[in-house]
Amino acid sequence: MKLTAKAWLVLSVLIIPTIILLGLAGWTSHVIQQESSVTLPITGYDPRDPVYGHYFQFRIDTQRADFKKLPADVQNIANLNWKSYRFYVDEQDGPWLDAYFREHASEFTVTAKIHNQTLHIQDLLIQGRPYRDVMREKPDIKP
Amino acid sequence: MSIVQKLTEWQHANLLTSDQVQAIRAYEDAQPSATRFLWRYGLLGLGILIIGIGLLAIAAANWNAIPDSVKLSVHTLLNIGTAGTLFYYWQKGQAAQWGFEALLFIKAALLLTLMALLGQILHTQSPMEQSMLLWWCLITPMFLLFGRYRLTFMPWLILTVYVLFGNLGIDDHRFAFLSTLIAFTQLLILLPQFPVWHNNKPAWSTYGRKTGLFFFIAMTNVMLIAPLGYWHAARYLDSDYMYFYNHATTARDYLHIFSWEIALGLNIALAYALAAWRLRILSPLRLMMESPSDTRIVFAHLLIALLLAFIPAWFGWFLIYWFGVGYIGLRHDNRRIVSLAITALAVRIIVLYFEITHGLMSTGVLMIISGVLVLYLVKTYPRWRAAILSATGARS
Repeated sequence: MKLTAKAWLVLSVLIIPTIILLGLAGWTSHVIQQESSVTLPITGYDPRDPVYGHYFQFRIDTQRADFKKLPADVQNIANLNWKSYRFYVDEQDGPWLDAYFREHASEFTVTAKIHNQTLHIQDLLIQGRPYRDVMREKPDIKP
Repeated sequence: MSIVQKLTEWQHANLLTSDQVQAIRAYEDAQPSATRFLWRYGLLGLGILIIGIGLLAIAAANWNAIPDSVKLSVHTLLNIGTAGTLFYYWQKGQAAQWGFEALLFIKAALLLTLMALLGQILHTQSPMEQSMLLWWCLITPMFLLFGRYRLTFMPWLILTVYVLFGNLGIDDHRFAFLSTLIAFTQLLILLPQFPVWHNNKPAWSTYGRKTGLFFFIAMTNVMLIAPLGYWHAARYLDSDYMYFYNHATTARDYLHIFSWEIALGLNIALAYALAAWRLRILSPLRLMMESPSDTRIVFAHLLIALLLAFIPAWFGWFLIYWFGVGYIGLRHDNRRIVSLAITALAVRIIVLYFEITHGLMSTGVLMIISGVLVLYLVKTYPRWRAAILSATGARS
């Protein structure tokens, strides 16, 4: 079946948005992976954002991180001390994280990559380990 | 206008004789009511919707058990599949326009959820307004190419205004923002003329008589009220503002604190006044109902019901009001009012599910069970209706 020029236009309008999205995501992911990783302490946890869903919202704790010792590209990020970041967590994990954070806030850090003076959060850590590992070991913590 | 009123008018204009009027009325009375079974279609849709949301809730509850690659692949396939279906129907050229445009909305929604999914996987930190700008850029060509209904353009227009609001950064400067808000409100009312021109559709006055206007006014105000909630939340994070709020003593202080609300309230009133004047808001409402008194009743119901909608303690009253609205619609054989009442009840019941359960899994299971029960009710309705009529000796 031979498509007319208009049919190609219509098909492009319908398909290209999906390709653009996936392309943007793939390209962003690829570029970020080239950057070096940094671990940063966090504070100001907000357990739930009704608009965005189940997100772990936090700020970078620049005092605990000893700001002057951070890499230069981290120090150059504008408003790092008050800018809010978020990390997606599942519904089941949210209450546990909430309860654990109330008692052990200082154990929480995130790993991130910096690209174009923007922090790209990679993982949420407790005692330097992925939070799910700790959650598996201490399932008895209840909200 | 009802057929009775029309017949009376035609009789007064000597277009019909009294015998003809009597004959037409007798014939119409003998016909089955258009709304007699209408609620069954509404319930059928509600049942399917509840089951769909239930399935989504169960998928969401087990979200962490699904690998990212699977989520992304399924979502991409859904996006491509919807695009393919739209293309197929566009080429065939025989699909109902409303169905085609409904699919267009589904395609737009799938692109948005794909963005959300990518955001979850990559933990992106983009502000909402930037994400909305990207979404707007992706869906606008589709809407301009395929959109024919004004109802299709209205949400797009609202998104356009939101994208403009959010990305111009005007909320940093209160007065600049206020003046821009007023300008955009008027813009929102004027912009629908664009698709009218674009698609060479009937004049603005004809548009004003359509019931779509009702949704337009509602959405305009949702658009205006929604940012108010956002600013409230943002202001309480501002410690200077909170200090001022806690130490306010004079009327002037309070006037300053509530200046936003007052300004927005005035602007919403202005939007209503403009809409009522320019679009003659009461005309379509009168067209929707049989008489001015019914119009007032429905209008009052709508306002009260909107106020009561999401106060849990008033849930019962909400149901009673909307059953009342539905009853008036049934009494007057008015499909639109019946549909509106069923939609209001359906939305509230769906919200109720999320209020009474505390997890997505239980919500999903409950919704699927309820959906199946609703479908069973719809299927078996003729049987138990006949049984009740037989038992009571009533006439069908």
